Amino acid sequence: MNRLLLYSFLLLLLVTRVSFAQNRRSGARDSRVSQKDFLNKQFWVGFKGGINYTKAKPIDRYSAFSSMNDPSGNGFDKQYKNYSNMAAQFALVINFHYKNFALSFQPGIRRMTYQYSNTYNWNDPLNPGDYLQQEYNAVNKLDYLEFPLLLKYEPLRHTKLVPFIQLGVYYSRLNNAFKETTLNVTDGASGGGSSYEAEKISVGAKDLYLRTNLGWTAGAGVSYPLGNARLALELNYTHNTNNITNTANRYDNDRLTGSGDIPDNIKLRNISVSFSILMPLRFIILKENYKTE
Amino acid sequence: MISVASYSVSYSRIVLFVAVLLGLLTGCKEIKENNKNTDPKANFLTIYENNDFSKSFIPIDVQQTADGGYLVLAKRRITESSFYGIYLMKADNTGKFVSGEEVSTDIVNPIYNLMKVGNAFYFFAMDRLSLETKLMSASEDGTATEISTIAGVIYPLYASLDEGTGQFILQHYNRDELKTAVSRISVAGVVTAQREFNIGFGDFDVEEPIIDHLTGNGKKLPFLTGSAGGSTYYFNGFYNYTLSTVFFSFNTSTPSVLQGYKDEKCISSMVNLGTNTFSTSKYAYGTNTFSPRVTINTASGSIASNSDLLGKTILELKPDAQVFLKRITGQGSPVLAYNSDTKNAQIAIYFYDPASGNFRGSKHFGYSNPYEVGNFIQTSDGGLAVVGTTYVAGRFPRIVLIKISKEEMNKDIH
Repeated sequence: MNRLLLYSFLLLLLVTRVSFAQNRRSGARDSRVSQKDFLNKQFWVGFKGGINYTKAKPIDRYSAFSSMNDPSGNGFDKQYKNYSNMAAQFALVINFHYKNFALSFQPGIRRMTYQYSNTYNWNDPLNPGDYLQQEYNAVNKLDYLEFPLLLKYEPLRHTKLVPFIQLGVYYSRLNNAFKETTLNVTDGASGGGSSYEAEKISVGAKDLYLRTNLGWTAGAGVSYPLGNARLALELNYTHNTNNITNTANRYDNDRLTGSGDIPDNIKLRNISVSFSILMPLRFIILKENYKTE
Repeated sequence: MISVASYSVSYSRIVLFVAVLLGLLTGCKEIKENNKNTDPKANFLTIYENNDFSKSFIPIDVQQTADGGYLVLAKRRITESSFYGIYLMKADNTGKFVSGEEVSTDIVNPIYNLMKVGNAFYFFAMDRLSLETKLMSASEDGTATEISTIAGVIYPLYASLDEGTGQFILQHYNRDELKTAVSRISVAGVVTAQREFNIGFGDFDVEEPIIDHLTGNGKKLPFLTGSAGGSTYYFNGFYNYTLSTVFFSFNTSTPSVLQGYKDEKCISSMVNLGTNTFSTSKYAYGTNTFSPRVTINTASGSIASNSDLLGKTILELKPDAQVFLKRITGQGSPVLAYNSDTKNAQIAIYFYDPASGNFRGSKHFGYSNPYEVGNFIQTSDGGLAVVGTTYVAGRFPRIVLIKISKEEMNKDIH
């Protein structure tokens, strides 16, 4: 998380420098260009940030446990809690606009958090009061450096509120991963009837995941001009196409394996909401203002 | 100024483009490798869970079947006897539970080892009432069948396969005459040779530690049998007032003895490397020592002490630890593998070079749930299968089967 904050800070620093440079230069030269020419072919830079929710989709299921009571059963399958944990993302945005289209490169950082649980029960058929229930809740946090490339389409460019849709591909590199497993126990055999937190395991889990995450992303949003800047609000869906579990290291974490926590092969789905601020690059470099004639 | 800025932007763009492209290519290669590693047969760890509060299973041996699956011989607690009952389990080649048989409680006390002769599997157990030895077979699909009751042979303690004759070398305890006996038994359950050795009389009581060993209520004693080459065999058991290693043949020649001290200073594992050359381990008053290559005089009548065997003290192991020693192949060469229990409740395998006796690495299994060693085998793909007991939720003894690939094992043999 510290590294994530550091990257966020550096990204903000970069964008802030760009904004200050723009303020310093804006009074120096004011070579006005037509809005039409300006908007037809232009680089825009800025940043975006927001929140996201993740779903882990299991492809092949694995468990450290195999049932002697019900060999054909799947009682040990993890129960995934989809889109239940909020996380954040930040990115630098570089857009090249040409008429109604834009090519957008958005290198950034994204934390994706997903959660699952497992419940195990033991009962004594002869003494119904003797029972034990253990519930494991695992929260998995993955920090990615991501490099999406999107094609953006703005059907209505000359309205105040400009709607857009976008579609593209991305390549992400895992920067770090963590796993927090909480064990809640209800121990009837020892005389207890209520649940208590018995153990909390926090481990670095980078080796359990593949470094590479590939996929496609699609989204829509609206932008609004504010002085030389353009503000935008967008909703994106990200669809990971490869298994992100490192199959070679599936059993390598002794702490997790010992408690029965073996990662499934999974693919990630992510829904994010982002707010962005963009500046025209020509304005920053050549001090050409983006103003209505 | 403009051209410099443009050049700078173009140059940055190219660098960024190349960096992302290289990353993408690396990523594609990584995904391809990752998909190759999805073979679920190569590596797995499976805990065989039973939701019955009162059940407990303690595995003692594992064998691989012709279909690539695994047969696990285990002990189970029963209410009819203080001796353990028998549980035979079949898992498929990915470790998934296939079937389990709770063998009738009329037959108890399954002992080491589960032995493979051709494509058939055998083990010895005991009649619950008469205490006579039973030879059992285990089918590929995990069904146990009684082959014969061996009349007059009571209290079976340990059995191994004599590769030379294809018969079993069984150590048993003759409580009536206070003798340790060793029988050679055919796969049909016929005794083809037998010899008895005096334990001694007086204050030295072996009955109690033997019963405690068999019922799991006391120290696990390192009973062993094996071949020392030619017509010479050995057993590790009670002889002449101590738990000693005795080399003998099934004739009347005087045995050779490697003496211990009571059951407190004993050989705990042994593999014959050649004439008078052995790999062993021993414990003495809690301290465990591995001797990967030592010379022992097995000539008739010779007497020595296991104190004379030099070796490496393994402080990590439990006091008086059970040790299972086998010859395997690792990194393309012969390797000695010592399998035992550590003080922090892990299963550990230590690898040694049989030619030089040098340490070549180790591998540990287990962390949060305690693990206890059962036994291990080298699998047909060159990897290892380790069976042990784990205490699920810290209290329920369950079978755990760990399979690692040849590549995974070789990472730890240097």
